[in-house]
Amino acid sequence: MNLLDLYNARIADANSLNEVSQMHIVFANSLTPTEILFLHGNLFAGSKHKAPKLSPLCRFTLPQLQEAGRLWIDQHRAMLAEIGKPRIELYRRYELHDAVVLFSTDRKTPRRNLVISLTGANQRLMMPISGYLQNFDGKTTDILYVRDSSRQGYRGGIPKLADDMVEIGPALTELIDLTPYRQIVTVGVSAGGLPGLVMALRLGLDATLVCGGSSPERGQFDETGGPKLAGRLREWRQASLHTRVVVGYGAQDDKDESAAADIAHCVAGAEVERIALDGVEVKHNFIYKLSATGLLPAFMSDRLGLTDEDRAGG
Amino acid sequence: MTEAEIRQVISDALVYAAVPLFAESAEQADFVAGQRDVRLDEFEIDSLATMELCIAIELNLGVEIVPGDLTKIATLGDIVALAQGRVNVEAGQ
Repeated sequence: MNLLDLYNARIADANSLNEVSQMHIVFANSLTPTEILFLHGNLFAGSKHKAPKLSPLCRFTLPQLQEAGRLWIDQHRAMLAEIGKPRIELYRRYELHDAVVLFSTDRKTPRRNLVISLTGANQRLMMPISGYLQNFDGKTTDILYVRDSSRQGYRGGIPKLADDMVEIGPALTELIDLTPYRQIVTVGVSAGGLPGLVMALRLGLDATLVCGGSSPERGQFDETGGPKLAGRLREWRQASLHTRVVVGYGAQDDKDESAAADIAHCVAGAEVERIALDGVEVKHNFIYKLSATGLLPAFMSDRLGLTDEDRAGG
Repeated sequence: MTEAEIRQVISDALVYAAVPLFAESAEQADFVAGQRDVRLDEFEIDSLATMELCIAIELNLGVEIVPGDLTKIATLGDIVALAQGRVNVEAGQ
């Protein structure tokens, strides 16, 4: 089924504009940059798109749907344009599990780098997945998207994959062979920040970027009577001193600044980075601000070591 | 549907949408208890969170409020009043 048919099929089930919004949110957590480009050129674009049949119970008109649909896809296309790359990254989607998706330009030939990405609110990486992917180089980098599918901030792990946050990393190694990759890193945003850090240290990965992560002192991963996460982070760090740890926070977010300091207190050698932009307020969602100003590709590449040294002969 | 129940629905929706700093804040507790109003610009309520809020209101209260209805809204209390008004219309009051 092509994307326009899928869109029309979903619309046929929608009775209100809020249900259309729900559908758009689900699409935004799934569509690749090329799919966004396709929809931008075709969604409600005259004869290219046969108008969907509306449900007899629906409370919106076709013009209202067209307006909402065009606004949604125009915003996504604009987000990709803001990143400022001359080309669209050609990622494809490979579902490995209900909560785990590999985005790669060619799964049969793993790229040099693997970025394991753990989500925050709304199972997002602080932006629609298409925007996140567009910030990487598909020729060198695969993205493993690990959704917080229970929406509990990974507390209790991931249903049908790992019963505990700490066990997510080892469980992922059963889903994907990591050995072909030269550089394996994690990016954890918001509620995914600490789980990404834990995964990187436990698996001895090359680097981790924590974006607006929570403080380990908040105790959301501490079990009553069990060991505290802060203490366990110190232990894991001793076993993984080579892992580069970067903890970023928005310059105008006092709470995230405090949390970053708490993380650094537990993880020796962590680099705390204050993200500031001239004339722009940078709070919790700093990676979107960097993306919208075209700065995120270089930021990710530098902090995570996403080089292209194989192709460059290095 | 009482005003207190509507406040709880709105609070739950903002927590579900993970609006930064809202969950477990004094503002959340006071808003749910009806002891204070909360200006929308006190929190980072982005377009996605606004969609989630409208979806939650429709699912839990059975009345339709769309993001466009909220463009001139300044506080959570205003949203409570808007939702309460539509609930009353639906109920024929």
